[in-house]
Amino acid sequence: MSERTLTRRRMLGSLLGAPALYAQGVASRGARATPRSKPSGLPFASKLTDVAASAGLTKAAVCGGVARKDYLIEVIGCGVAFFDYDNDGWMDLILLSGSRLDGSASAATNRLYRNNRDGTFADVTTEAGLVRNGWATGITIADYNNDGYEDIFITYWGHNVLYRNNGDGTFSDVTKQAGLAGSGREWGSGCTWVDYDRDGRLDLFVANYAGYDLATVPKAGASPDCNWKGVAVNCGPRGLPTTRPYLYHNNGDGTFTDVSERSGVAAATGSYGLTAVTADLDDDGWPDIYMAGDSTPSFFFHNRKDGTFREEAILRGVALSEDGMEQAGMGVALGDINLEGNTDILKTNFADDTPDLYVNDGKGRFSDATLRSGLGVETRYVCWGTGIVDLDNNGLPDLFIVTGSIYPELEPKFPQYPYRTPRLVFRNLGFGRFEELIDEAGSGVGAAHSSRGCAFGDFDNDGDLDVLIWNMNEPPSLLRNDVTGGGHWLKVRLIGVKTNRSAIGSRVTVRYGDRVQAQDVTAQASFLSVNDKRLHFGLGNSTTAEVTVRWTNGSTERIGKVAVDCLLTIREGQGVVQADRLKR
Amino acid sequence: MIAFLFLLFLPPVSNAPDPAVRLRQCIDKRDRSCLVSELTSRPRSVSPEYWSAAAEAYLLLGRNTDAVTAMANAVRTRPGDFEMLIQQGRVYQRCGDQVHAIEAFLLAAKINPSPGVFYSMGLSFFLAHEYERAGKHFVHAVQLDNRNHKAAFMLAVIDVLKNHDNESAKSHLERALAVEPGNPHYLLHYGIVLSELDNPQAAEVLERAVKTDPANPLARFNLGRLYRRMGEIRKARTELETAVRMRPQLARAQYQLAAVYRELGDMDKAQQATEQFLKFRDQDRDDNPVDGPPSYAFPDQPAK
Repeated sequence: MSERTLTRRRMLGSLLGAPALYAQGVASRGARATPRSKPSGLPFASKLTDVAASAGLTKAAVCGGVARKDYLIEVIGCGVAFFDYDNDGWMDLILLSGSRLDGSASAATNRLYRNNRDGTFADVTTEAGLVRNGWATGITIADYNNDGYEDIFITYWGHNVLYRNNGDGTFSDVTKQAGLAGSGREWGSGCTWVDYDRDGRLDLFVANYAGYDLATVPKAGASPDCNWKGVAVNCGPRGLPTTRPYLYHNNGDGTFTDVSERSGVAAATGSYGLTAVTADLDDDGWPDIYMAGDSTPSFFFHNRKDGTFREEAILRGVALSEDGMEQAGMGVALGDINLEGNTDILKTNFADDTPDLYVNDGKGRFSDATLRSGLGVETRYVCWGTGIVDLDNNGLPDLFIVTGSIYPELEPKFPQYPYRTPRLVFRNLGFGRFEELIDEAGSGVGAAHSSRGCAFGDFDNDGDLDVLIWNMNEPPSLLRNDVTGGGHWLKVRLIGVKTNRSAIGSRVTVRYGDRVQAQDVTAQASFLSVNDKRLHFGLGNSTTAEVTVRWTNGSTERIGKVAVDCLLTIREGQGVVQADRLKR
Repeated sequence: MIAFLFLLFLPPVSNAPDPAVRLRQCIDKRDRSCLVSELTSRPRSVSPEYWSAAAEAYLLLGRNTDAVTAMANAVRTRPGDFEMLIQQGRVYQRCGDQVHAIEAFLLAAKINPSPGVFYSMGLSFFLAHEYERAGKHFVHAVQLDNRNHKAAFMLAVIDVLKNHDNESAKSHLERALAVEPGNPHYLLHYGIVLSELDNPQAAEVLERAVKTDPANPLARFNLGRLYRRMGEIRKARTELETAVRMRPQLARAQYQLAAVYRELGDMDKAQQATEQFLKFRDQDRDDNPVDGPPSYAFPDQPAK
């Protein structure tokens, strides 16, 4: 292990929260937790309980070794998804799968679970035609061919896969025809459907984590990039070759054209890309793309409205930490944390670091509100999937984060770095302040796992948000949310007509009481995962709400006052076409 | 007659000062040509004091091997001398040879186990990245002399670097500041630690650090950074602008300044500061030893 020269800069740097004393393959700033404020003592009306086993989700995910991870490919894990593949109004699930390097997991596959509408799920992977062994990483779901059924794109270490939904409960692998397989030499990671040219057809952005060849990746401990806290661990991402993202234009005939160079996306090199999200972050009516970078700057691709993008993350304040340090960006959540009608960004990072909360001024200029919001109190865990979600329906969006170490080898030497760690809830106290809750948010939050992807959706249609979580080499967690307190809510489902049918990139703004909250329809978020596209707004005591939709093509549709505690389906140009009370 | 003969063999009385004194004068002036001239015209017979001064002069000239040789001559000509052993340890320490430095300090400690010896040993362990052993020696130095502010300061540094314990660092820095309330280094570090602890006194302390050492860009940067956290954006801009004017390559300050301009809505200036940040970013990495060894780790006077 190499140690660096001690200098005054280094000493001061460390005092400022600079990287730890040891060289390592992953960026963590050595940030110290800030002191906790006095607990508010306020009751939390949401209780999250893991019901995965009783729901039938008992098959363990597979991803590399259990007690030891010799290669980085074994640790990054996978995404999950809530989506309604059969259009029955109930959220179905997808759980991605990795494999094992020793070949012992040839039966491991991604799994599709159909919602039985009674709190249980049925594994329909085989009949749906989705059995596939390999190292899946990220997922994005949307109706790319505008036929009314949601399609699936999955990134792999190796060739990526596009599954077209046939509308009869089955899927077809159309990767080759579509031209989306990729080179096979890269490790595909973040991906999101995005209609960047607003032609009504969803294009595809694909991030890559690294160039990864087992034949050339050094062994654990072989270099400073293969150490953490002085313990030999799997190598990377530092030291691995970086690649670049891709952008594919949807030709409208089932094929795509690689426009990475032409669009400027290919010029953004030097990052280990992970989760990718799309939304109109600068409010100019055109969808932008944000991609978390692991141990490298994150990217903000600003849509220049002419088919090209310019990478502007540093300028806009969303590339680095508050002090300009690289971080191990993993997951990304979009939401309106301070209820100003703008889309803010929450990014999760490695241990010995805080998450980042970037607050949007409405024009895509962000200020780092991490410390002033109270998120600096938690630096113990490696953080992955995340959401800005109103768990207790009180009208203030909370923050949810899943965690888990990547080094099972570390725990025996450093008990303070356990492999399995709890989930985190930061309850929104209003005025831009958050309070961390673990045990107070229910047994499903305090339970320790090494988790990665997670998705937010209402699987039991009871008017709140549940959480699906991918756990490393374990069955998933399905956290059922039981909300008390009578907070009202509203769900909004958008159907595009001129704009893409899934309405990816559209924004819904809801006014309730004296509050306003914006949410965007996304095709990937959290960590390499896909949320329920029915946007969920907690409304607190408000019994009415006003809804405005800005569709992906920039047109605005004012819906006006609506009833609450229901799911509104809004069709572009037609307003509310259906209001369902769900089962509550 | 005999007395007369004896007088004949005495060296002529000279008005010129002792060579060691002359060398010390050059050292005090940091005059390179003076140092070179004095070292070149070395007298045939020299005192341990001369060798000791020569060692220091060689260090100033960056000739570490000559410094070590000169100091070895000094110790050889006056074996078992506490001052010489301490000086030898410090020369090894500054040359980066912590093993021999510690050996010299150990010999010195056998003669006089003073707080200064333990501080010096602690410093060598610290520079050798042996933080636990360094801490033990600093603690011992403080136990022997609770006014040993240098040892207290180093304990604070270890607390922050290794133990991640800002509360403990705070108390060590308070001890150091009780002895040297105007020490700008201590004030700066104390202010930084208080900032990390969200202590409301942080701004006041960093303001004092800036007042005490107004030419220190790091003090300006840290005060600006704290103002930004506190939402005092205009005050942050003033301090950060001063910091980057003093040291444009302080990339972290450029980054903070870009954020401040962005928050003030001045995107042109934000762009300029961002470009400066990108330009100097690689020079402002924490592992880039552009600042050289910490000056407070090497006090001018030998430790006693």
